[in-house]
Amino acid sequence: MAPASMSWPRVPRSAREAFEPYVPGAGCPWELGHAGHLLRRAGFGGTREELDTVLALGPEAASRALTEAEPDARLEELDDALSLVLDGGDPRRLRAWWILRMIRTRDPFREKLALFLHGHFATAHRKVRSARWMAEQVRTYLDQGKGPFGATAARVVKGPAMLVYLDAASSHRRRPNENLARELFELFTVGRGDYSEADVKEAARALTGWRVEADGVRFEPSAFDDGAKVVFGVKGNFGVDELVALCVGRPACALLLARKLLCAFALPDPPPPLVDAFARILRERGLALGEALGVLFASRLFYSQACRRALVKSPVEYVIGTVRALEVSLTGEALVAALDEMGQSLFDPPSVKGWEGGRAWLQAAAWLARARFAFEATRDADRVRRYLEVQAKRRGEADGTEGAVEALLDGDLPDRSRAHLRSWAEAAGGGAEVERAIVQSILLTPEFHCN
Amino acid sequence: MIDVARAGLGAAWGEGSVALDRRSFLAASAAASSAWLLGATGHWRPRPGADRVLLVVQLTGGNDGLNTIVPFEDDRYHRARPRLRIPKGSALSLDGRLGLHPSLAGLRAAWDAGELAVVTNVGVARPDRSHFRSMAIWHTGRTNPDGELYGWLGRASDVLGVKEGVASAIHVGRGEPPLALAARSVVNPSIDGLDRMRMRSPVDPREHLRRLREIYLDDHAGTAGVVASEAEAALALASRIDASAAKGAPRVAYPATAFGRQLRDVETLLGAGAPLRIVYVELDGFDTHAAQPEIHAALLRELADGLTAFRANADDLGWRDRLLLFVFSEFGRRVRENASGGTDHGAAAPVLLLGTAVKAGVHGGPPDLENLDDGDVSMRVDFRRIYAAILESWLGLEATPILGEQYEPFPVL
Repeated sequence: MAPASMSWPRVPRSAREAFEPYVPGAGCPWELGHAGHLLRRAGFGGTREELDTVLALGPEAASRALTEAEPDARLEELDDALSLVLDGGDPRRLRAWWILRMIRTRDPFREKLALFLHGHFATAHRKVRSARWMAEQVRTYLDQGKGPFGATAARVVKGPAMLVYLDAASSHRRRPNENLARELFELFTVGRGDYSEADVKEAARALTGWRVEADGVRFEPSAFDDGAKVVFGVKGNFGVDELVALCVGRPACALLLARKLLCAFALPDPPPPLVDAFARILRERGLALGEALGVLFASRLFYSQACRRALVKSPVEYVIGTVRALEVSLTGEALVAALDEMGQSLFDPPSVKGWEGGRAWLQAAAWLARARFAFEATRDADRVRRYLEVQAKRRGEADGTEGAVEALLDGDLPDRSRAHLRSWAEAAGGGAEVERAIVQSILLTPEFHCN
Repeated sequence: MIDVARAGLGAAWGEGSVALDRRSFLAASAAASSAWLLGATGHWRPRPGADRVLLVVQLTGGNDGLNTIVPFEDDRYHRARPRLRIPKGSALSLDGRLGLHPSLAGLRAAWDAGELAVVTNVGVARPDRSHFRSMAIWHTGRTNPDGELYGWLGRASDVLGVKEGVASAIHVGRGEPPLALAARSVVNPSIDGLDRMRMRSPVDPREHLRRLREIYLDDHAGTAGVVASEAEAALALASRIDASAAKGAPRVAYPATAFGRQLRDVETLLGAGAPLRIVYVELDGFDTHAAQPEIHAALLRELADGLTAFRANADDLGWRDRLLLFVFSEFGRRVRENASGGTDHGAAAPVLLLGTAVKAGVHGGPPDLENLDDGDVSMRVDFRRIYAAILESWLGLEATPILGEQYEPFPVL
């Protein structure tokens, strides 16, 4: 009773065709695996019902439903609790708040995009030292992250967290601090090769005058360098808004965003023609990230072999996906600790470059943390047994192992591994410990860690 | 005699959970060392490559070289840094012209014992002031690191290979594995705390590990194949470490910081006989754009105390002559201080080497503060020459294939 596993088409030859809508039909399958792929990439995976809904909608409508969803009103209760967290100032509780949002939300794309921006405009609580200001940044991503990138960038650059993190909170026209200017160019907008050292020095002048105090950000005109600056060959008395607009308007910015978005949502190492094509799609939409990703999620590229299980799940994707799939009940504290050990402490990335991702998630200590989390997630023997029973019943089988492989992996497991799990279950003939070990092992298959 | 000594160490590594206490380790190690004594000098020099360990200490963020190895006789230094300068009386003089930042007092013993070498004005010809690019240059050893997948130590470990399921190079610390260790044919692990190097299972762990390995050794396509190979390497390492955790507190205490704990873990791994050749640790926080004096002093003290404790404890294990420590940063900092009580990204800076094999002393003169390179200290020694010396004289490897070009090894080893 194995589901049809037709191979996915290859990437279209031309970049233009790659971003055309994927139309299910001859040679273009639309099955469980495709629905799972979309829900894992645009969210954190899906329940049986959600998968069936996506299957019924088809790629284009499903992509729209995910990327254009309204905020989930049920999360307001969590957000109300946030103000208590912020008064306490504990960054671990701040992490737990966001993790609980991601577990409970019916609008997961908003959270995924916010996670992307959180890594892009990386700041760290260990330097910023204010849970409130860190939360303010995430609120910006959640509220307007889907919209034009320029507006998001301007808001973030003037926010207290960024100003403190990149030492611009006391930058004075007499001796401007270059840190924020440099990272604005190198990491947040145009990337290396599009600016000169002179641009950095001039941009640093444009970013003077901001002061961060306990109650927020203030602009101090006497500290601001209000002379003419020349950036990218353009002369003017720039302040931060003009500077950000200049950077975001450069073609190099759309290219940088295109590459990062494709690496995060499509495939690793995207070839330049695909990056160029996606950059054009972004520019046509005023760098509105939600809309552009909506095009990606409905595209032929997205449902091609090159994208299938091509990305390594980040710790957040792995943990949230597991919790949602198995309906595990673990405390916020436990989840925060697990993510720390896997190398993704929300609000505390390793550097202003964010998290590198990909293979970097798989180094030994991080992998063993994933293995220990899989143990925790399958600790409740009754829950595991019930889960296996549901899978067995769904398929009319005596043992739930195959069903669990289908539910957790869309059946994407090579034959020998599948046979191995099956024979392990048969040899054990039931028994709570082996059931737990088997489900834990499914969570530790390589495929489960690939989006 | 050699075989008996090795067998003693071998039992502690990889077979069963024999947890030896510190005294037994010392006894076993001493027995092994005495078997290596040779020659008229009575001074053991291990064969290049075999049994030697390189510990690389990366100071992340751009360490202010000028305040680390201080040109305290140069008035230009004092004028450029009215707030940040280390006064003449405070610097610990090395050669009458350059002195250590007072927080590095812990390294005086190594200097007096002739086990500290300082090479000044080390950097690249066209300095890059971006953390990431500059670090990538140092990690890859390439002037243009763009698109480089492998690091200089990763390439070295490709040659050194894998022994007993353990890679020859390891990163001890949090966060991302450094590009310096990225290799083509081996997976060099990062570990953060030996406690975290354990698997948990509801059934017999050995049986569970065996079954998981069966799955990982299956044919997994694409990215899943990469995951399978990394997962398999992680399990192999965990088995090893599980069997060999040392017991007993070290004689000289490490700083109570992450860096101190990492050095202690390195000591544990080496003391347990892990066949490592290259160990990489990082001390972060050197990007002192603001409020530099206190931050820098604290970091340098942590560095000196950590390295001193490590060398002393390793000495107890009989490892005195088997270790070379190399300390570097991705760039120095600007000569002139800024308005926030700090310094911005600069260029050339000194590197430190510690060990009985170094040619002790200060190599090169103080930085030329008259002829600056756009406000920065200019390079006199290409850092690849230091790498070449380490690769050839210490690790016994050919440097040119690893560095991509021929560099004349700097005469510091």
